[in-house]
Amino acid sequence: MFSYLIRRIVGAIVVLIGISIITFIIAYAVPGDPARAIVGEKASEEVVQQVRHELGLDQPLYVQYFAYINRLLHGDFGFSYYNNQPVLDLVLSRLKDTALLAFSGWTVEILIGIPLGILSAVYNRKIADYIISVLSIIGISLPVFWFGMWLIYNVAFKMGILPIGGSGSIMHLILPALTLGIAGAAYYQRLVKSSMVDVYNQDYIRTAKANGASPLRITFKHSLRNGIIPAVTYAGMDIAFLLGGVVVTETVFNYPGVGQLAMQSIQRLDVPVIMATVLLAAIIVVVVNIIVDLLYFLIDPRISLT
Amino acid sequence: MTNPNVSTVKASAVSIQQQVKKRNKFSRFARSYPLIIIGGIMVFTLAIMAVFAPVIANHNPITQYPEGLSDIGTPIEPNDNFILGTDSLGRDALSRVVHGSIVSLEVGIFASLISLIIGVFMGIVSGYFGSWIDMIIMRITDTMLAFPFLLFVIALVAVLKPSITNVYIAIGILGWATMARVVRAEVLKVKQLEYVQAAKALGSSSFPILFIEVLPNIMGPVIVMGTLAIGQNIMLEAALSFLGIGVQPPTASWGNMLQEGMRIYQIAPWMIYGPGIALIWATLGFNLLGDGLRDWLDPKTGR
Amino acid sequence: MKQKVLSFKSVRTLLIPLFILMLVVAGCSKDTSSNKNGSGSKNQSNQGAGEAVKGGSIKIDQRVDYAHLDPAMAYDFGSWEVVLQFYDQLLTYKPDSSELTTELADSYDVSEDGLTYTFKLKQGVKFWNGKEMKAQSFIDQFERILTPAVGSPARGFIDPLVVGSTDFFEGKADKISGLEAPDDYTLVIKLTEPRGNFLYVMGMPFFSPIDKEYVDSIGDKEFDRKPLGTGPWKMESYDVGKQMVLKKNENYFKEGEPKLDEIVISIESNEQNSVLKFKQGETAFIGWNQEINSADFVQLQSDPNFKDMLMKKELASTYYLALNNQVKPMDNVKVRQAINMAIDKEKIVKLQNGRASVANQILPPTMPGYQKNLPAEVDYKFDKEKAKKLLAEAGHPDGFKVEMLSTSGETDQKIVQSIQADLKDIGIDVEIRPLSGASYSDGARSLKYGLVYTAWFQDFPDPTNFLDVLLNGAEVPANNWAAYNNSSVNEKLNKAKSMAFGQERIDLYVEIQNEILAEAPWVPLFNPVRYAIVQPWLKGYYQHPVLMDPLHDISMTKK
Repeated sequence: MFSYLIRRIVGAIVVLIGISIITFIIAYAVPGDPARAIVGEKASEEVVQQVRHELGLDQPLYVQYFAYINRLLHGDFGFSYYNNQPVLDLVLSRLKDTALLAFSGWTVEILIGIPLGILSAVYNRKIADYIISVLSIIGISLPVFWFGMWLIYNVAFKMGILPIGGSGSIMHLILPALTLGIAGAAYYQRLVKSSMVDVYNQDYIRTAKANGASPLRITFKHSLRNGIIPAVTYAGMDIAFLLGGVVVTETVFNYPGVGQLAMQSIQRLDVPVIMATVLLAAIIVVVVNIIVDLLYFLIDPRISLT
Repeated sequence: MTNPNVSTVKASAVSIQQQVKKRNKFSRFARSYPLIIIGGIMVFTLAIMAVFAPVIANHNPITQYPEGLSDIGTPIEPNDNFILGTDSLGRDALSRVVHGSIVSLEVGIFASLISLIIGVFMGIVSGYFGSWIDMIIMRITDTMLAFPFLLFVIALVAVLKPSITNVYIAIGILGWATMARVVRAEVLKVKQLEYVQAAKALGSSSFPILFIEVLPNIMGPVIVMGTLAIGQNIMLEAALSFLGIGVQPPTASWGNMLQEGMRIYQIAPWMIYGPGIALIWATLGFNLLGDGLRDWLDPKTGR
Repeated sequence: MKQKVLSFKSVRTLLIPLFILMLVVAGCSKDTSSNKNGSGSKNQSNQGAGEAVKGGSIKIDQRVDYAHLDPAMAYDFGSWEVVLQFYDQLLTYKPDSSELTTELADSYDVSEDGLTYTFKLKQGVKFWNGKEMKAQSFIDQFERILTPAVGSPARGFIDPLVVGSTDFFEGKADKISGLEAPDDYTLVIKLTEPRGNFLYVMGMPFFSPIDKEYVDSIGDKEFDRKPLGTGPWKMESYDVGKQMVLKKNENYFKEGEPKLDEIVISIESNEQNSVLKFKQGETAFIGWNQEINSADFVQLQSDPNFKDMLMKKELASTYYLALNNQVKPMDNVKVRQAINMAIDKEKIVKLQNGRASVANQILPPTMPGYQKNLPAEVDYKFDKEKAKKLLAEAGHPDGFKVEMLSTSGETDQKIVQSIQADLKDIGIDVEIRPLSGASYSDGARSLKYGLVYTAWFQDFPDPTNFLDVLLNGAEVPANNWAAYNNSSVNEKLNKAKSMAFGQERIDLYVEIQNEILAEAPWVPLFNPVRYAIVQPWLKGYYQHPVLMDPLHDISMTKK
């Protein structure tokens, strides 16, 4: 366990370094001159040179990279080109809302996906299973933004029972969470079903069946727990999916999270904000994955940690 | 003069027999793998739509028709001339939906090929050679998988110009990682097969073994993944165009049509439905086909 | 004034040479005619039916988050909406009028030679923290504006005009020698040359008194988010990107202002949502500087419940396409004329549901020098065939490719796509590049785009404010985004602005405009009409010709 933990964390550090290298490359591939952008066009070449020097832009690339890492480690993500605010503050203040949305989306996935998965496993190859499977594949094929628009038009605009967009209350969260979670719910349904069906086919379940245990008892005693384990691991991959999905969902519902911030920053060419958003999102994905791995271990210690 | 006749009759009898046989075989196949058939038909209609777009569309997709706008400058609802109505610039929605399939398929197929080629190569190398090569490649895939895709594209767009090229670049950089993982797992299985071991023992050099012995054995999962990837990439292209950072105007794409629909649904709800249904049709088609192919080619890894 | 739906008048002015400002006063004193009549007959027609009640809280929306709250930095419609409420100036405008009046100044005096301005300040005006505003509070702000690290766009208004400003900016002096405070309530400003518009400059939000101790204690960047002024509204809270709450300044020096107790401003970037909130009665008004989505506007206008709540304002503004006169092939006058003839402006007006009128010249209709009947040879009528012919004559029978910079609002995007389609018809392939905020104006100033879709809003009703600012060669690339530089035009412009006001001067401007139009450096597109929508229970809302929404003046009636 301990050596696994160490290996896992070393691996994660390597990945984090990889992430920082990639964002560094993208940020510094900016066409144009960051120094010129800062001082403005009327500034003389001398001033530009000076700023370039101050920013270390005249240093070799690897020196710049270490300076960049050093700044990141000190929590210095630079200042927004748009409103001069510290980028970290801007992103973190939005991250709270995004986390709330992502968590709500995940709740939708779990609340819809797992029960449907169980149902379709219990009624494998029966009508219920087929209906659920069809719904599930439609769910996976449903474009997030289209589904969001459809909900806005029909539920919010025509029926007027929920707000069109914005944030601030539970009511504001319902439609975005549904939009965000619907595809993921379909994935969970598939995962839970396939792993539960696998368990059903295992010898010990057959034995239990032969001994006259009721199907319901089998489901809840044996296969459910084993069926849910893969679903937990999937949560690790799911976080990247959710963080990508929030970009679209937040845009459609005008929800003030990091996705919307990133989109707004594109037209403002606010590179520091965008880079910080991407970097933080990737870091979150890595961290959540470690946590999920550990949870996985706690749930089922039999699993070999290779 | 009789002979030829006889022979034709015979020939046609034979062909009918063959056809019947074929049909039986086909219907048996269709019954076992209905998803392949349904998905295949959906994908096929999509391909037809794309190839014959100029014939099917009764208007030019980028022309802004004066009669396509009302007196107060709003879109026209569906009528005989504009079957799916017009958009807020007076363009024919049907023609744009039809032409939108070209972009979708193009991006879907080529982007998937990019990720497939890189992914298969990395996966095979990683799985076959193992040790430190494997470790490096797997850490790289971990890194790539940590980036939420859309946010990554946004970062690219911030430094490049918004265009569909970014989709290819982003998929080239990130999209292969999942593929590589699956391929690696398959390769690890295949590696243990006797004849691969035998080839190795006989001193074949690595590359021939990789591509002659290993690759054909993992084609099943690769085809399945490729098919599913097309559906996903079509969806991604639409999402990016919806956000305004994919296909640029005036080119018709379902994503940017929906973006427009988003702004005028109060008075032009048809702008949500045309491109939306087309998009769902496409992604659903490829997903069904992919699932079906998995049941057929790769039953173990399926559901 | 450059303003775009989402964007900045921004840094532009930093670069506006001072000679333009000289004419502000002259222009503005006549401003009443041009702008007020434009506010339309509907102004205030529907509101204020009941008795005003004291206090109360309203909600309004704001489309984009505030770029700046530091008065030295703020220079866009969005930020001014609140900055004008947080801070007061020496002078301001009368309600619903473009006539200046004193605000923090009790009285003022201009020396005979026009070089010395003496302001007597009101006594007992307090900052929100209870400290008293003194003459030094103004000097501190002038110094901030002239501090390179602050980076204020307002520097151009006082440097080098105010004595000693340049030395201070360059760090050669630690005081601005032209600013003096003989006592706490007297501010003396010395200029290097007479400048008629100086009073108007002092009415801009940049030159508000600040509490230097406070600013120093939190730093300039933090001050941009945590304002502290003397104004009628205090900032109670500000959740960046979401919501700002304004609370009444109980100690405001103007008796009876503000009339409400609280204003909650939500950042609601979704136009549709904003309209829905208004329809549900949640928000008090949608100001004219917010855009009402086309689909919503059409619905509001035909809805008997809401159409009377709309207020109309014709802006003294011209939207235009700047053709980059210095890059090929736009350096050829025939190409520019062809582009002028290829664009269907009627359609552009239609796309805005009629919220504009077609423009055929640089000056908007309310501006002196505007010609009702433009000479035929400079009036480029929509004619695609002729446009194609001209393009062929210019050596581009098959057209060419060009990049167009534009703003990113919904309406803007419709318009530029319409232009794109029109130009495609004569063979020109346009690639649209939508940007917002500073990246847009920086892009325009880089002069690397062949076409720039943009607009200019008057600062004062005098032709200099358009012709000089936008088309004088000296303004390349600051404001002259067409990179138009004609020495004969430059000469005449310089001559005209030194002339005495009168018909002769106007005639010269007419001549200049026609000379410019003959070279077709722009495609004038349209003059906009903006709408606000106001709840009937709101009293005192007006569309001010110069300032933003009158948050300090509005009150509620019994519902």
